[in-house]
Amino acid sequence: MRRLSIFNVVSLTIGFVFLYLPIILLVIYSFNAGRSVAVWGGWSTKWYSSVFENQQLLAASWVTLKVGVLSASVATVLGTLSALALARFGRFKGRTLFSAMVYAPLVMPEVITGLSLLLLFVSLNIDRGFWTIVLSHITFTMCFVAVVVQSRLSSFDRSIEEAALDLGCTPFMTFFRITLPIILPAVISGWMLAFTLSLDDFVIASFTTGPGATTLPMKIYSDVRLGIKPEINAICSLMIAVVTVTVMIASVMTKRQEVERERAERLAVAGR
Amino acid sequence: MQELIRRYGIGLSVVMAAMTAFWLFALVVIPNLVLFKFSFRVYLPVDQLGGPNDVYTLKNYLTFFTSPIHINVFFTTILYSSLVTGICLMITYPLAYVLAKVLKPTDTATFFLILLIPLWVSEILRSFAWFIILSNQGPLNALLMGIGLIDKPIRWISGYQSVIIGLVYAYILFMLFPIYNAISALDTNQIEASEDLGASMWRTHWRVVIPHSKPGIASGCVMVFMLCAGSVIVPSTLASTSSRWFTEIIQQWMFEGLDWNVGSAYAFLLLALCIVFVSLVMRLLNVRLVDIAK
Repeated sequence: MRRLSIFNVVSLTIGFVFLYLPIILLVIYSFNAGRSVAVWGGWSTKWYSSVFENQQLLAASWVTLKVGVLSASVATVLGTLSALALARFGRFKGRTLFSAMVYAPLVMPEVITGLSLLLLFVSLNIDRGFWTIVLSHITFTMCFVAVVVQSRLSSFDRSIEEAALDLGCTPFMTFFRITLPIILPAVISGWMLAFTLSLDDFVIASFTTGPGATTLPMKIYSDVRLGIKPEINAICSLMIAVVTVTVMIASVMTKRQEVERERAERLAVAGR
Repeated sequence: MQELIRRYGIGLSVVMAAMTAFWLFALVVIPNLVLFKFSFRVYLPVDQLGGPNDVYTLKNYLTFFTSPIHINVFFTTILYSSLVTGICLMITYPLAYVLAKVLKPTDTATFFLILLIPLWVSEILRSFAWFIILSNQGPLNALLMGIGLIDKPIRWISGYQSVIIGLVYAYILFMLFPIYNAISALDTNQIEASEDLGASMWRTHWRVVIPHSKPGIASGCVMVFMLCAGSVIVPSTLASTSSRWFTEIIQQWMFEGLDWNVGSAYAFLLLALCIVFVSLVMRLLNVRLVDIAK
């Protein structure tokens, strides 16, 4: 095993400090008693209580949550389906085009995705607002779900599916009783990924929104630009807390499931 | 196809394929075609639509090529995006190497969890954090004055320096993960062999590790450059009035100028820039698209 040299320790430490210090500072400044975001004026929790009295912020959070849950759920279904199509159809006609369509939003600059969707909605005379944001979020998050699920599909043993079919399961039942339970962890983490992406998105939402639908990132962005109150730090810290907890749960869950799967596979091989 | 039909039944597979293909076609392919078409049309008031002025034209693209300010911003965006890409590469390469080859595999999982959390914190919050740190009476100036390095606050948020810091911070992990994946696929024995044969540390990296991790480096560079060039939030939070980003001009056409046709033409230029950059990196590092996609 190679040893940790001083150079390595230093580069690791600097890397982690660089990554975490700004976020930690943001949280610390949410307890700032002063009226300015950047000037320290002693400890206080008053901004947290003022967040819960700010109707606009609460309304924006509610819209964001609704958009997130709705779009993540549809994106998970569609993303899983496209992953199945990509992983299981083999070489069908138009596969290259299909995979290009799935992966394009992953690499396309967000401005362009947002702009092109805006122009589509305008040309179709669709009223922009809550539902156009949901549609756009489904489209750009389903690609991420597809990637996550596809990597799980490519690593699992297909003979289990074949066994179920040979034992008389209908294809439909095979999917719901064999395939889906096996890829479920990937589907769940795909959902969480889509949900967090939707919560965070500002660019696409700002292009596709209309009057009356303001999401939390849009509210934060406009508050940051137009002179700010430390209230924003408080809501940011709350968001950081939510994200941290979600990521922790997701990773612990996948870890546990991996361990269980390995044990089950070992038992199966041992013939018990 | 037959295998598939046997597996899932014809009904299920047709539904699966048709639903996703339709969705993607309607919301990925068509919008981009609409964007393309818009960029060649003239912006007209509603009553003139369909009239003699409603023609296809290159005027929107000419607006860009006849505006020195916009051309200047375009090239500045390219320059600073490349700079940010370079900085990210310099910082992450040693980090990725340590994570992939020096740490124990059991520790790496924990380190990755720690690395992932900042990635999930929204881009707005992360650039806002730097806005606080770099502001005139913010913690950085307070610290520097506290130790006596400077006597009056430095204006950090001026010019492009704050944008560069913000972009590096926002996108550095997109460089780390592909390079980490590439390096961890390298057989450690090769590094040891190179060392046993007397190569210095630098030479081992230059001749063994870097050539092996080229696809990872390429995909990291592509990701970071494209994210930087297309970034909206970081430049608009951290830039001063003197430093502008190409996406801000697109936004200006869309939301302030309300000339969506010129805006689409500019967006298309951005897309073209990204495509050129991807092919340039592939040529430069001599990798194929398939390697990057991994």
